[in-house]
Amino acid sequence: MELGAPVAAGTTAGRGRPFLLLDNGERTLAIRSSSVESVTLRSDWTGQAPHELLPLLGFAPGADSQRERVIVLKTALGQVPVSTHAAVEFVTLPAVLPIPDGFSWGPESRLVAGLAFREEAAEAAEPILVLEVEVLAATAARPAV
Amino acid sequence: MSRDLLPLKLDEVWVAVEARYVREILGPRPWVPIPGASDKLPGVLAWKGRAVAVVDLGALTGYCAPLGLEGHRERTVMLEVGPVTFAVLANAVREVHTVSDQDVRTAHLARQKLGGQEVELFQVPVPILDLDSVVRAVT
Repeated sequence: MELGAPVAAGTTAGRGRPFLLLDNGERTLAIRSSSVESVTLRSDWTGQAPHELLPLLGFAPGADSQRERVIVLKTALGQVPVSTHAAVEFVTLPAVLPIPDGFSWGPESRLVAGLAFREEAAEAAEPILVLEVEVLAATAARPAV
Repeated sequence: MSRDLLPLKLDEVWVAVEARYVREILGPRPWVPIPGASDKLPGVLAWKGRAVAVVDLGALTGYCAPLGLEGHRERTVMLEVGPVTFAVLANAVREVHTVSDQDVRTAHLARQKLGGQEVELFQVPVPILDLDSVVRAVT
């Protein structure tokens, strides 16, 4: 996928690649492609103001405006636009390792479905956080306090 | 009676854990923070095909600075206490020391966090972490 080009889910790039990878250089996140309605350049986006993804997760927002994308998520709550300053790419991830139960993670941990790596047996590589889209949508829908 | 202790260095402070709980000692391993997690239990890393909790002994004991969101240390120590598997990050790990129970004494009050005992290693008093207490603090 070329940077700078708007990408729609369901195109050849996404077919057979079940995850949309978001890499802002510091942190790599993944969303299941089946929950992605579309990916659009921020400058081309004309819909409602998107929620910034990284602050929703409690992380600092990115700053690279060249990479700003709006991702429209398909959720039980309807379509939820989120924005992120990241390179985006549809990929296949070998497996998602669920977050271990039994620890006092706190309720926001439900935002994370698990860990993944781009290749098998790559545990020494930087892990990818796979997000739980329905929890993300519910968090975005919650009024800010 | 004796016990086998593994010394771990946390910044400038040595602590010891019972070696029988140690499953593997790795080099630096990337870990990722979990949204909303506490500084005592900041994230997860992958080990043997599963995600494993990272426990920050610095935040838990106050013996050294907390890891923070991006912190890392040179050694990753995988521990298994009953059904609970977790990782702690240390700056260094030394060889296992077998110490006699007679050498183990009640820790100075300032070193009683997560374990009331200490032993002298490298000519300094080293607190022995009670890993059951560590597990109780994060589960």
